[in-house]
Amino acid sequence: MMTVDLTRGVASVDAYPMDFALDFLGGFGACNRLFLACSQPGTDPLSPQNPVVFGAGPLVGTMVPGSSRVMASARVPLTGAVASASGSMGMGANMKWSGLDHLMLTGKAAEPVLIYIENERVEFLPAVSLWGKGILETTRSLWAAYPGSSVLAIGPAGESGAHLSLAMIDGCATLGRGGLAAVLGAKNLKAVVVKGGGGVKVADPARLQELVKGLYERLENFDMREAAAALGMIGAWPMYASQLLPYGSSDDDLRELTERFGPQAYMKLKRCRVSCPSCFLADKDELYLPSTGESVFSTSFLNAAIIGCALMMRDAEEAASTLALLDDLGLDFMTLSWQAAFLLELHEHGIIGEEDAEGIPLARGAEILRELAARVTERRGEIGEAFARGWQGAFDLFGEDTRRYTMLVRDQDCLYDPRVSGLGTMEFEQIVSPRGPTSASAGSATYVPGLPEERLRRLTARMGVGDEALGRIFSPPWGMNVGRLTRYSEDWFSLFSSLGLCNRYQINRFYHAELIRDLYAAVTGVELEVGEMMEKAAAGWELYRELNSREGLGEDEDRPPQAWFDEQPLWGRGGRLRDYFGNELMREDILTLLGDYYDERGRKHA
Amino acid sequence: MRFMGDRCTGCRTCQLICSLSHDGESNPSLARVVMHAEGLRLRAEFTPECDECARCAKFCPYGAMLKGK
Repeated sequence: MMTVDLTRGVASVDAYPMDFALDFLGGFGACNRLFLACSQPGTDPLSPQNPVVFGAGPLVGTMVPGSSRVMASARVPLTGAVASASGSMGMGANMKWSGLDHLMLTGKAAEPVLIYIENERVEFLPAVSLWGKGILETTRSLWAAYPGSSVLAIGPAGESGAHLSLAMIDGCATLGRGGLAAVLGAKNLKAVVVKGGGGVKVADPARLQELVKGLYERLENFDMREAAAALGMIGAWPMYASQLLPYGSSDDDLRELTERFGPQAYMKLKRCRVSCPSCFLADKDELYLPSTGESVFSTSFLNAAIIGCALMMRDAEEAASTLALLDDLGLDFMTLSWQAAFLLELHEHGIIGEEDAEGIPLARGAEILRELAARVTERRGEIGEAFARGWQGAFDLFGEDTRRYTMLVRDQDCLYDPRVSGLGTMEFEQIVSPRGPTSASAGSATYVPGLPEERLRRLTARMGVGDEALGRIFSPPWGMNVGRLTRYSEDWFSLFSSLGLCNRYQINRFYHAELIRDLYAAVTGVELEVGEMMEKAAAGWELYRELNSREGLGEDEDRPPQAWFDEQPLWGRGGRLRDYFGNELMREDILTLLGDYYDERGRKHA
Repeated sequence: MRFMGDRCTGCRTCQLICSLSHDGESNPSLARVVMHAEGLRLRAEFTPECDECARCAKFCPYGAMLKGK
């Protein structure tokens, strides 16, 4: 583990406590344990005293497919939560190839700096000339200076302390929803460059090779393999389209959106698919923008389609170039898009007029998002300054009453609306996640809509869920009790993130608990029973919860947003709240499911 | 061995399987295939030590490695 003191410009490499690794598996769980050991509750997220702890789990840097996740624990400014952020691309693997499981950043540099790490050695370098530059330019210039390295960089939004800022790894993987980039910016840290020249020792190379071979055989038999390889997530467009389509749309609207943002539109921009280290189904892209001749990186073309549909942009190129702009500034595209939708709601309900918008165009399209991005990044004007502070800033400016035009939990916007997609684990998780809405519980089978109960049960069993728990989850009256299932979906996320595996459903669908136990043993030499392994994963999640409870973000904050119970459209979404199978739900049902969730977690609920 | 650059997505599985099977660890610097990075794109160069075992081709998920000239 490397500890970097930015105030003094020194670093040290030490062994970190082995019991942290053994008790919490590594990565996510160990980051949480380290953060508990080195932080004080109530620390200002933007102060030098707020540490940032990175972690790469034991499978990272190996050829286990999808084993590239890097975690980062820090208190973030948007909500005051301790976020354990998850990112990908090359940072985690290069940490491991440098001999590092963890990297802890403390203090604050006097001037903008970057740190360059190569094989347990660190250099502090001035970054004044990079300060103010976009993430893409920063990344490209650092790649040129340090060929073969991985670059974590912040953009101008992080430098200005915007709470909507996030960091990017290698220009196409986000890290740290809720303002991790502002935390790094407050430390005067522009970038972390890591280049590993070593490797990861493997306890049983032949066993590992055999296990990975089995995974490749499963990939061979995957009926969607060709579409997923060629198109990435947009290959499942029909599934996403039904969720992205604005409320009340017709079949003609669906056809039009498919033409604008579907697979054919993607193919016109696709230059090459991009994988994280060890991934066998690439989900990132280099895209070509014909009208400017530019080439840009993309976290996923699906994200461009999401903002394109949400704000009815003209075409895929406009959506992709707008997403690239937000990524370059280092802004959370989801929160900013919902802030734009919020402004439009206020305008449509007569609460604000053109004169209140300070010149921001109050019409759907790319322009409102681009203009808002510039204002927030520069903290320009009343709206720029207020919105840069997140939702509370917006309410301070336009009044607390305007909360009803949002869909928030813990003052962070919901990513998923169960009125549209049904209440699966990733929708329910938003109200119980310690840090506010994230994708942590997107890894269960409810990610895919419309599966029959028996199939859901079979796919849940692969997540290391015992027979008794399966009996409680798949029982009347729900058929599938999402409150109880969410506990295991969280543990599944904790397991993957602790070991360094990608928890996206597209990847985790190839895994089951016994296989993960065997992979862990093949790499580390530590043999565990599945039950033991899942207990360690659960312990990592409970610690995450505890870290946030001590910040005042406990169960009292587990409240569904009012908008879930209002049928009227908000941000283009609407309809009645319903469960995974399409049955209507009332507020009392959510409270019952919350109680079941706590019961499954072994907690008492007031 | 041949490298089809237009198919490569940069996952480096070729290097990881090569070093794992020959040296018992996941270590790109020990691999018999060197990857030169140009942004997100990679260009492969096979070292004289490459014995054409073709495990890299077998595990390459995008078919960027081919055995033969």
